Amino acid sequence: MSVQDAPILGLLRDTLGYLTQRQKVLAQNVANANTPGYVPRDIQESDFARALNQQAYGRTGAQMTVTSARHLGSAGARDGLALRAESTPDSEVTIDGNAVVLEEQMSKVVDTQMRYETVVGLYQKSLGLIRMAARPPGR
Amino acid sequence: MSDLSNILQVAAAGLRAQSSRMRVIAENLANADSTARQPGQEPYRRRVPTFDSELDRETGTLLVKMNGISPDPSDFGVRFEPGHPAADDDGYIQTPNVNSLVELMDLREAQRGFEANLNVVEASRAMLMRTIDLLRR
Repeated sequence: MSVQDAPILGLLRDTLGYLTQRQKVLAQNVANANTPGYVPRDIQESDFARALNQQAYGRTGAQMTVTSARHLGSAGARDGLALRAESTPDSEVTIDGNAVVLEEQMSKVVDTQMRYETVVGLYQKSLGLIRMAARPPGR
Repeated sequence: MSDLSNILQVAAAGLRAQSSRMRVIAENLANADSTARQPGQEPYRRRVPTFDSELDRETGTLLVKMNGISPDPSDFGVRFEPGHPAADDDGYIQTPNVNSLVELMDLREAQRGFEANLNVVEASRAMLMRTIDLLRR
């Protein structure tokens, strides 16, 4: 077991992954803020909770196990969560069918950024705890 | 990590699209008084940029690109000016179908879109810097 596999660090890392993916989806929305017919997408918090549960309590059904370096990994083996971006139209739709409202997207971007910074701070504190435990006594 | 740099790519595509749009608007505004030289010729016709989203297969992200610039088919204006070289037999000339108010509103919208993309760049850059800060101390 490496330091990376400590439950708290793994959890925080998954949260960081979720927030980064969400930020990517939001960036796509902002870039397409004037594209006719574009409907913005978002990764819901509930989807993250579902993916996290799935990872924590095992997946349903049989899973393929990687026993050799040459095997292809099964989906979502240990390379981040499988998150789905769903279309979530904002409060207004323009005549050309575009449903992006920049203000709402901006507040989501800032929200994601703030949560990311919080989680990074927590990660740093947890690393500090491990570092403190690893320090020889009396120093 | 790769996601964070993808964000920068997406926002850069947005910035590029909005600035090309501003270029077209500037062309329209600059030519708001460009009339024909001879009778029978058309004056400047307003051009309209259109956007389209485009899937970048390499990273799986949805970028934006300018789909093309199409001419505005609306009618030209008419002004009575008999001394003009392009005036027809009755003394009227055709003026471009550019409405500077509309262009200014479009310009403001493009500017807002540009700023929004810049904000996304700023936010993801801050996230990236915070992550790199983990390596210090």
